[in-house]
Amino acid sequence: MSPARAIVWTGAAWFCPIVFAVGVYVGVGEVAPRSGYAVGDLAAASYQLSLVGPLVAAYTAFRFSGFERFVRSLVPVRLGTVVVLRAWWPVVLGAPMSSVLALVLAAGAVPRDAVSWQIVGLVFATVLACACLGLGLARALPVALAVPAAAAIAYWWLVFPGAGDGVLLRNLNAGFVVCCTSATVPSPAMLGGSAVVAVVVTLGVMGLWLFPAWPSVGRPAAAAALVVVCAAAFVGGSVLVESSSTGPTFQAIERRTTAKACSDRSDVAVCVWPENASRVGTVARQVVAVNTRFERAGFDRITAVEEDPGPRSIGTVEFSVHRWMSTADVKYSVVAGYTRAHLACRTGDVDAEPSPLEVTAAGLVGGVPRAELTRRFGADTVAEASRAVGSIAAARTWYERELVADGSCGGDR
Amino acid sequence: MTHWLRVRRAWVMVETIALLAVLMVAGGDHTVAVPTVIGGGTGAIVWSTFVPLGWAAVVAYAFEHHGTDAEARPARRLWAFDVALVAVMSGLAAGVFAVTGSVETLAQVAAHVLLVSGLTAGVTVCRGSGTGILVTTVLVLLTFSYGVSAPGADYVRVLQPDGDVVWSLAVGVAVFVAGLATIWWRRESPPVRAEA
Repeated sequence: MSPARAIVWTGAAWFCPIVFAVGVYVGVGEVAPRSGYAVGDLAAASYQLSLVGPLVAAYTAFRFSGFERFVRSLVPVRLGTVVVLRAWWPVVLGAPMSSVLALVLAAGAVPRDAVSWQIVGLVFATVLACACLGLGLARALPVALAVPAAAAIAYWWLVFPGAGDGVLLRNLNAGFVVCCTSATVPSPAMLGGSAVVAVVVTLGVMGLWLFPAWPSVGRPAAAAALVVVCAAAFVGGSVLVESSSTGPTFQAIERRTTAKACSDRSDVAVCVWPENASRVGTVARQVVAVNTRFERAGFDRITAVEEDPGPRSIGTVEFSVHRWMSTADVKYSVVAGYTRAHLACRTGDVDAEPSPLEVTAAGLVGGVPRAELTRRFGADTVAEASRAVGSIAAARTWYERELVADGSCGGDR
Repeated sequence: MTHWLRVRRAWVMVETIALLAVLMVAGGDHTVAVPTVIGGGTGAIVWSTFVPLGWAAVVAYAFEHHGTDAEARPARRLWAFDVALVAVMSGLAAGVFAVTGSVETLAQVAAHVLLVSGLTAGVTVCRGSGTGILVTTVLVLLTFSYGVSAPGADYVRVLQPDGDVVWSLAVGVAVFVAGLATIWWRRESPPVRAEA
């Protein structure tokens, strides 16, 4: 079959654009706003698999039904797998490719590091496996049963584990349910286990067509063979996940260990993730501006800020500087981190969260725009905070009463 | 008549209703909270949400074959039997599922069964069983994936328990009537008469 004819005959000419459109629509809905962290954005946009996977499985089960008759007549002279792929490559490869293009477009991120490429590869392999699942079910069941079965199985594989509490299954379905903040990456066990399931299903279904008798076997035998392939896929994935160094974890994420970009210009040490390196100067300027106002009010000055500084520790000013954040957002994030650090010092609890009033008061002293604070906490809170820190003397008193510890954590932060 | 019943797989339909009823009893009110794809948020899927899709599959399976010699005799007016079969079996399915289910009301179950029956049967007699079940499957996927808090969710989630019942029932009845009308119309079409 000529390539042009295959593209039209299989319906890839109209189905792949639909897959692309669905993928972009779903992906864009999940990645808003984009963080600039490629792994996180790609993982969020991969949520499209929940809809694209079942759609592709259902469509291939529908369109492929009855194709074994063509293969049967050609098997004496050609391998069944070759016959299938020569006719079906537009859907089998086109759907995953459309999905990956939608993924990259929706995420607005070009994969650069190994983890990003692994996510892209896993999305490709998962859609490919769904297509092959549809091809296999179309051989094993009448079309009226194959189509809903393909959609349901794909749905159960890709969606249900993320909604349940089965730890192992959550590591086998290419699901990035809680992945990833800027401080995390997908766990290698989940990436590997999911890849094994997808690859074994794909190779297993394609491998079945290598047997000359495969186009002629009865549907019960075909169904049994498909069950064996799927079972082998899940057993293989499970073995890999269980034997990994970390084993399966509920969230299927790990701490990110990428080296940060650091600068200590302007007497302020700033450490950010590499994707935010271009904003180090902006951060330093905002911290200096905050320090100027803090020192005037008698507050301790900030000497170091860091994005996601690891397990929270007393005395660390933690902040964020994603691509979409304005300078007011950055300044607010620095002040919030400063308040949190003081509270941790005061209470001895690294997870203590400051109240809106405390953050607002510190923000007013540090120069966070009043509109920004009003947007976050409301006019009443801002008004109350204004009364508490209305003058330099009042701010100093408020600082010593609300934020400063009893000397145990003194010093600059 | 016996041949027609065999071609229409009437007993398979009855057996499927019984099987799905058993599964509904076994599944009970087990609910899974799944993330929704369109509009964000979380949607709840109860076991019974899948039952209409199973029922749609057997409707498509029953109408997989048409145009047999037995069906081609206009004197037998088998197209009328087809309409009656879909109507009776859908009513039976709705009643049995409502009795055995523990989550949805009779109106909700009837709405879902009528909707998928009418859609699947209507498209199947026009475009074949594959297209019939594909259309219904895509509809189920889209309504599953539509967010609970997305705009117009009550009117889009017509196959979920949390959809607007009156709207779902109205859509179900309309689609069911359209599906029966399609069967009626297709069986009276000139090619069938000419064949006879």
